[in-house]
Amino acid sequence: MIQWETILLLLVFVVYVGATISFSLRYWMKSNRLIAAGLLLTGAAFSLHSGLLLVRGLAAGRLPFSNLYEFTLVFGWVTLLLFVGCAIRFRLLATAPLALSLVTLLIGVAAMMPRDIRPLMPALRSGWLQSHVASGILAYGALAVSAVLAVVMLTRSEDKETGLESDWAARYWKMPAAIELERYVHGLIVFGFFFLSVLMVTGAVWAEETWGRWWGWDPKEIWALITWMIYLVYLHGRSRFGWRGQATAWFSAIGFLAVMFTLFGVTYLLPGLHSYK
Amino acid sequence: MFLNLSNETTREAGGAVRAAILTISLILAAVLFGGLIPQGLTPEAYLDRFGESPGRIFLLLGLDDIYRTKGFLLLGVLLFVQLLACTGKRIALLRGNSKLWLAGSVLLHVGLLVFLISTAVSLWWGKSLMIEAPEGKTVVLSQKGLPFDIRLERFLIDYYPGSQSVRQYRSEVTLLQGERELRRGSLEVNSPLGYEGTKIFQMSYGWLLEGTIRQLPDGKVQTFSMVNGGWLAGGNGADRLRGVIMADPDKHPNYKPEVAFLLLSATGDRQAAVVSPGSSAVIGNQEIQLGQIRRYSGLQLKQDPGIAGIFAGLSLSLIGLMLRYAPVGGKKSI
Repeated sequence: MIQWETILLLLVFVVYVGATISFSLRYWMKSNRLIAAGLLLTGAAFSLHSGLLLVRGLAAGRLPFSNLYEFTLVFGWVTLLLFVGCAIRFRLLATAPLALSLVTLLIGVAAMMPRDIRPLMPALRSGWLQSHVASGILAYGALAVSAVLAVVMLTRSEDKETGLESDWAARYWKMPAAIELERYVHGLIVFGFFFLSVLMVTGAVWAEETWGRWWGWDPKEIWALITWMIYLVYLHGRSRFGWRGQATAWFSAIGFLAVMFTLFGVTYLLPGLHSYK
Repeated sequence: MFLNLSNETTREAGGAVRAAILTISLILAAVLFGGLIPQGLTPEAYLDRFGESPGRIFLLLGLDDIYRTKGFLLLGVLLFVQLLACTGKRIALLRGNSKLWLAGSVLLHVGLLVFLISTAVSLWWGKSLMIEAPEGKTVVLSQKGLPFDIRLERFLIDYYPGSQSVRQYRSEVTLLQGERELRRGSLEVNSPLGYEGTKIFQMSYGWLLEGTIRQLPDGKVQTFSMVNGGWLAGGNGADRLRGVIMADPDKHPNYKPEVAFLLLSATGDRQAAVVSPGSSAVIGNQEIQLGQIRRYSGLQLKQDPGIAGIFAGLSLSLIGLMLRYAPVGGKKSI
């Protein structure tokens, strides 16, 4: 089973790289075949990615939620799923190279982590594990997509709509105006912020049940709070002070850096109770 | 301009919200400080890291435990007052405008107020105590302000089949008031035992080393009970004695249990001896008689009158947050 997992992991990575290259080339070569190839490869990579999660879950005999390797794989999977949903709904296919680069990077990082399946320690044998991790994955996925769109927003110099062609690919391969992107970023941050809050509340309830303390200033808790507060300031700034444009894009990008530091930086640099590598 | 103020946004942002955002930013800066500079290390570690004078100033300002400084607590109080003002303003708006998202916003802020009040109650009136309860013995807690004593009847460890990985561990306890039995029950990791406002949590387990130390040559005897791997003040007060089980009986049940005692004298001398239960050895100027190696269960006892309010506040806030941003209810601006 482990061997299958390694082969699948390698395949997923390679096919994601292919999809990223295919979509990226479309910026230089105006062939719609590149979009079709990119879509095909993304579909294939996503199917393989789903298969990888299934294989892992079967091998472990549980949902693949219990260590950083599994979390990173599911995080990448949900990020892609949310991005595809947004790309179809809001016609954001032109942002695919950046989104796919992020997912590819996550798979690459996961491939470097230990993959051995260890039995769950007593503290992790709780019904709160699933809701805590699931809310974290949804939050991180939405905030990742928001950061992708925010970075695109920061690189947009003017709000001209491209893709004036009338064929199917061109309808989806257009870069939305910055003002539209800003609205999508906001929507994704609201979604992500809600699940970030659920993540923290379920974590508090679980910690109270396990260790008799709902908050302990553990490095992971501290950085989750920092992340939450960055988005809290953003939401108040936007709704009460009318912040728009590049400022909100910077908030989204910085917020996502805090997410990544909470996930990887804290685990490797500031170990604490959450160091389930 | 870094912050672009939208032209469509003509609403007046309230002063209370502005002040609250400033306070949140200050709290964020303090939390970030604590997230970047490790907290709770020894004073020597900070002096080592920052140098003598800056290190002393760092310690003097309490920056080694920033979340317990008066300044940080003051920021919490300030946030509460500002949140109260913001909530009042939102409630006033709700009276003339019964929109779902506005009700959500009110609920969200009321929930946060309940959370902050309950946290203060928890910090002020809550208390907790860690004990190592030896198997078969009663730990007297009534002298420490708790409504019962506790006896650990049995401690059980459940392993994953065919491995030495611990799946779960459990304590079977009896709560007593004097000789009277109040309650029998069991607790395990993730499943605490509650009794009249006190919760007992399963934290850890290990071995206690019990015996006596006799001073040589005058014969003064003192009993000891120390956690495996822990330290004990030696006979003359300046010496330190450490006892470590050679092979953990949980992992090596077939080995004869033996304890290595290490004596660190005040002069820097180090001496060691290996002792089996029921036997004795002379180490330095003391004779150690090892009585028994006994299982203990690490328990935390906690009374927290604020905990229900904390979770009620957080739940209200989550519901409020959901309503605040639910995709119904028209234009959402205050």
